[in-house]
Amino acid sequence: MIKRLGIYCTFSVLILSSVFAFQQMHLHANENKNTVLNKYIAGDEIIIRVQKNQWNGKDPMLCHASYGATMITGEETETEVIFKLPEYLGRKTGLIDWQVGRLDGQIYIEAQDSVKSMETYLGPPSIIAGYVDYSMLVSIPTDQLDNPLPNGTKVNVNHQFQRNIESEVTYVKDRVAHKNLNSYPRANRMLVSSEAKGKDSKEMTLNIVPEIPKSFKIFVDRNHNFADGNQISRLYTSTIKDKYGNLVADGTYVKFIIKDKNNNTLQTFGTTVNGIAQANMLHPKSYDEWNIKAFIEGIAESSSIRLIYKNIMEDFEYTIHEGKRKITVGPLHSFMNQIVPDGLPVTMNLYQEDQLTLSLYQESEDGKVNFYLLEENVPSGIYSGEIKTAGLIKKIEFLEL
Amino acid sequence: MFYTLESTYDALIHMFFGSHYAESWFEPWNYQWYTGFTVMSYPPLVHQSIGFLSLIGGLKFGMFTVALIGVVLFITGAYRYSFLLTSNKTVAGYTSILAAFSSSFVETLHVFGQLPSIIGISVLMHSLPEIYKWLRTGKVLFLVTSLALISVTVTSHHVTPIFGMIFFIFPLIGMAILDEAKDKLGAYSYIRIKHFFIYLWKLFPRIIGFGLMALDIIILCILPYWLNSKKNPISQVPIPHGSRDSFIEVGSSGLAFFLIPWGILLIILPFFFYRFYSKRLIFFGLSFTLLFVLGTGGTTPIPRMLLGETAFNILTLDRFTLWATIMAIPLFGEFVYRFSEGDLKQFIDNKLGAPYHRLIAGMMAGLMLITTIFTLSLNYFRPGQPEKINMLPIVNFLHQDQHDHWRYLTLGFGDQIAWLAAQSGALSVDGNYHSARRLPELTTRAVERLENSKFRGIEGLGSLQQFLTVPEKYNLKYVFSNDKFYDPMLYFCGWQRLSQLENGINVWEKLNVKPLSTILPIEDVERWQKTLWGTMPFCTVLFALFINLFARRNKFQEPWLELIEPKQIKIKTKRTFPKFLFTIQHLWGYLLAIIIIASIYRIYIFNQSQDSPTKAVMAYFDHLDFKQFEAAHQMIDPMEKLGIDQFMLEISVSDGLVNSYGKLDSLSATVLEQSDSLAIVKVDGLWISPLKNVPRHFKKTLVKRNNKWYIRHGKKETDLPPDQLYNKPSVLYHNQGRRKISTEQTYHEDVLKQPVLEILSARLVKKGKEYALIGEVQNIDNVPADVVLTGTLYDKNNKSLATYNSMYHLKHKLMPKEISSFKIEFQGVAWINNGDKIPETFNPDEFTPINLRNEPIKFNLQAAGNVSSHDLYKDMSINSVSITDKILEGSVFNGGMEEVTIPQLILSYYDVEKKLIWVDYEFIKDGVRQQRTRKFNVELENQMSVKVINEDMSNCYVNGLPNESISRKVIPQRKNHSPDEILQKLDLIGTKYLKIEIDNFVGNPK
Repeated sequence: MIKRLGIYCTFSVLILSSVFAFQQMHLHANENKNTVLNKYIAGDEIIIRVQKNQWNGKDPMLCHASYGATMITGEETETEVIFKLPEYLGRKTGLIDWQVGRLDGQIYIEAQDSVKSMETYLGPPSIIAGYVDYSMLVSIPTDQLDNPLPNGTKVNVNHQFQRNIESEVTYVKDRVAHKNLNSYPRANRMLVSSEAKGKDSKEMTLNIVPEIPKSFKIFVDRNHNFADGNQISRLYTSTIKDKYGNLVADGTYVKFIIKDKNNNTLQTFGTTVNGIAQANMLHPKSYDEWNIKAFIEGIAESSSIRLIYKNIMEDFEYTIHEGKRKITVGPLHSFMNQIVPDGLPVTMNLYQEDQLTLSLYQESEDGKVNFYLLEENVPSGIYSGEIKTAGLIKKIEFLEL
Repeated sequence: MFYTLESTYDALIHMFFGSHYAESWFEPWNYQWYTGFTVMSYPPLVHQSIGFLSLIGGLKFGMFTVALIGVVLFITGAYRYSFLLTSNKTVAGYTSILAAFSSSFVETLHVFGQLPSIIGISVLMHSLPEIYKWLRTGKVLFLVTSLALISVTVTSHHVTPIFGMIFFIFPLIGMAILDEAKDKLGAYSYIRIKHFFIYLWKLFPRIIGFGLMALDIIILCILPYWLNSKKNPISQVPIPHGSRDSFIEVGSSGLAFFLIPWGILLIILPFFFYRFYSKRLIFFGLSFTLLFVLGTGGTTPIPRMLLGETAFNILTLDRFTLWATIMAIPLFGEFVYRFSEGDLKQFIDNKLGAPYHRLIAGMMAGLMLITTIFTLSLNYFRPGQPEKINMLPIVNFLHQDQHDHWRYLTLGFGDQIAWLAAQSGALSVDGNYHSARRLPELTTRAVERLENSKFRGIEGLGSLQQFLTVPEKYNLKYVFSNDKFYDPMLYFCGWQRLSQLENGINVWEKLNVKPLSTILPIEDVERWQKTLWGTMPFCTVLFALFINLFARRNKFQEPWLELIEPKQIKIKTKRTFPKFLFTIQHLWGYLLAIIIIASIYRIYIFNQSQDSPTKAVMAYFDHLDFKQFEAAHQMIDPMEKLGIDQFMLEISVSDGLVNSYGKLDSLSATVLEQSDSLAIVKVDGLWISPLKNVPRHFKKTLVKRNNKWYIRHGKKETDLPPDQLYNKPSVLYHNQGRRKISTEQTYHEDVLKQPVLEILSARLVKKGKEYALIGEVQNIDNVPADVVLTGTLYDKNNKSLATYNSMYHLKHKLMPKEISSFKIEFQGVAWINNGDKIPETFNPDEFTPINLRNEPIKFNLQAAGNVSSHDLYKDMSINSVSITDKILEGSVFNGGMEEVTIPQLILSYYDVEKKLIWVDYEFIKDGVRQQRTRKFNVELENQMSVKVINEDMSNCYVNGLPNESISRKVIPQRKNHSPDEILQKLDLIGTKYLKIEIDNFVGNPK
């Protein structure tokens, strides 16, 4: 009997205490008249109780939360009215103002004390080497319900650069934690991550790219120095670096400007690979002097070099065949008396009383060029002519056709 | 049918409409074409039927089923209509068989694929006897049946009942009146004009009753259609259509719109006229004559006079020919009947003997068979469409990776764009139903589709150019190209190639285009319209079926039979075939034969190309243009001993703007000198390419051997490239895109930073009447950039006047630290004013300066960079340059690994103070192979009329940030980017320096 009574007592005490505990946890409206801020953890059930005598019997409760305002109808019990806030309001951190009749109060919902995810952003994803540029890591530790953690939450920012691995501390302020990551004078890749309350972010990559290039040198690589129009002079730069000694980015565009003997501007282009840009230029077809300078336009220039291309021949022959309507130029010999490679341009101009009447252009084949003066093009008469090739001009003073 | 229908002009469009109804029956707005249009612009019955049936077995099943129904309706309709006209069941039977094989029907179905038109005319033929019955008997049931059938006609094709009213129903009414009169008077020969009016008066209430109610039906059944056409009147400028050509001048149109539809009927034309002008059919005769004449299009001035200028330019006149042939089909049936077993057979047997009869019969049957088969396989002989494209890879591409968040455009797909649209839900800028489009860029042009714009000359390519230059406006990001022709245009407008799809279609992409917004504009209509539109067509069909079955059950059929049964044609068979008619018919047949033989001979003579030097030269270039190299080779002097292999080889290595993308437009040859065996011919040709017109002049020497003129080929280039095998280090880029395989939005860290550009200079200048923004832009980042420049002009009140993008005057792809000059021209939509005369010949250089409301004073320039990994070929150098007077001569050298198909020179003019004042470009006509040089020759311009209006650069932005802050930050101590060394000296008025830049289009990248 006593045993049973004991059980009853224990049981009722348990119930009572739990009710008490429950009541402690929840808010009694009449105890909080003077708008005391009550704190909750996001996800808690929020119930506001109002004494029946303080309630006019019909008013609903008006709630202002970050989602907007909403009305909540109360549930009457014998002594009090219970207003149960909808679940969605309790899931989001922030302030909720409530009002029933003349009663009002505020509730502050705090984020949970654990981090579910670290939302991190890093931008810009590439910065210029040196001491000026920087990128910013923004980290938002959030709880189970996607609420950002409160101000002052500690966030560790780790970053690796070459052999350096560093960790710095920053704190959440206004829902985000951020850290400026300063550039290094070396161009390379930096890996960044962050951590808060034991939760780690994923790895982010920050590229440190070279500064603008500094001036450089250029060189030429050519097989010979004859103007045969049939070899390639390879122009290339020294390794182009920025002021910290970093190689410029691959693909940097270098413009080689060539001033020829008549001060005309020729151009060839190259893009850098490992800091060296390379460009090709076909040898000129007659004597020329080239002044070459390379530019990364508006940013860097090279030293200049001067190249001379010598004529491949000092003289050439031509034959006027019988009937005078066929003229053969050649055989054309190159600098060591070899037959010139095919494609050497030969021009023949015919003049009648100093008026240009016909201009013929041909490219050599097997060291020879045949000009046919067909009757339909060149009627009979007295002409003078000139033959030009490889920078040489030969005159034919008198040609009677 | 299963083989032809899909490759017809229209069938796929109907299928696309069908797919629309299958997806959203009651919503008439379609987003997929033309930035949205309403399907209320075409009567819905056929489309809805396809859509409905597609739910059972797919779209193709739907289309073929509807087509089969159409054929059945046509054959039965022809039977009923023929029976009405000839009152003879045998003749009607003949007719229905012949109808199925008549070449106009075959052409309409198998070549043009006009399903609604066929269903419309078939149902109209079904309705004719009902109307006749109503007129004769006055029984309300017949009125109801005829109106029910008319309503079906109108919901399937709106033009058919309107013109059918005029051309079929009016003569029918006339015939009914005459029949009525004849019944009372005993014979047709007693009928005089006054009788006609008497009986007209008698039947007048019925006629009016029918007429008004039919009109109501026509309006009511497709009321939303009429409301829509009132709201969106067709503002489209007339689009040229072959049926309006003069058939003698344009042989192909004559073939398609006259010879083929008439086919065998042409031979017995005299018989038709004879029979149609008999008293009973006199009204049909008038109508037939009118249709015949209207169907001749622009051959005679009569159709233009009859229809008036507007209607002439809107209607396609081929439908008149179709109706004329259909109208004549019963008589054709009668002719065949009389020829094979009637009086004509007896007549010929008696006169000319049975073998002759058999010969003619055989010939005619053969001819008919040949025309039908020829028509059926017309698509095979003269493909009007590109080869069938397997759409699946494109559909998959569009559905992958959210590619359908942008609009797309197809090029060179023909009518298959409708099939693509039916399969994929993605949105296109283009479309294939031009009456429905709304963009002024399209409606002001006589361009059917952007897709085949190369066939529409300047207007076509001009429209396309605008779409490609300002794709942001239309959220256009992807182009599917089935035609290499457009590649250079795409490239120089700043598009880049993606990989080729499995079906060989090239995909081009434009960077910096925003995706479509989730909510797109819609022109909504009231709910009752949607309901009416969705329900009415099927209701009309169900009602027509029901009422006709009802009519049959009640044996209302009988009185009708009695109405015409007595006038069986038997009477005629007793008579002999009129002799004069036979003679005329006979003569006509021979005349036709002579004409045909004569024209074949003319074609043969025309093709004899080597009998004069000019013809030989013209033919030679023609052969080259059509890539008939063997034929071209045969015209080369055999004494030169140029092997075909060598010839082909020389051609295959000559790439370039003209050789690869040019199309010969006009060619003229003048003989400069000619002797017995030798001639010198000057050839002036004009080639059209996607980028510009290329006039080229040649002097060709011809020799005569064996009475034939041959062309001297001349010398080939002998220049040898220096190296056999060579190498060059270079940088390649690859953008991973989405690194994680996921359907989510691209992860933040996978989004590349936009490359930083710097606008080095920008000025608003005016040259003549043309305003332009010129300047220089540099990629100051470390990755290659695709550059989009958008300029806006403002007047003094800061009102924006015009916005445009840079087109050809810019190297769109810049390597790190590379500079490009640019010019933004402000183009208007060409010929937007009705008064403007559209040039008749094509000119891609044509430039329409925009019509500005006010004087532009300020400008805003937005530069956007995006990482680009394609089309970065920079290995062309300028190997020699010289300027004499105004002529810039020089040569370029290709020192790299790719063959440059089209090199472009961008020429920047500077004034004395080395400030940029004008930018121009020039395409080098021929391509440059590896380690070869190519000469160029450009005429420079004096720049005296350039006026600088504004050079305030405070409104220049790069990737949305102010240009100034960027230039301060990245390159604070900038050197002069155009020092003496870089510029070429020049001595022209207003300009003293020149900068030459090169952009390279590689047609076939390795």
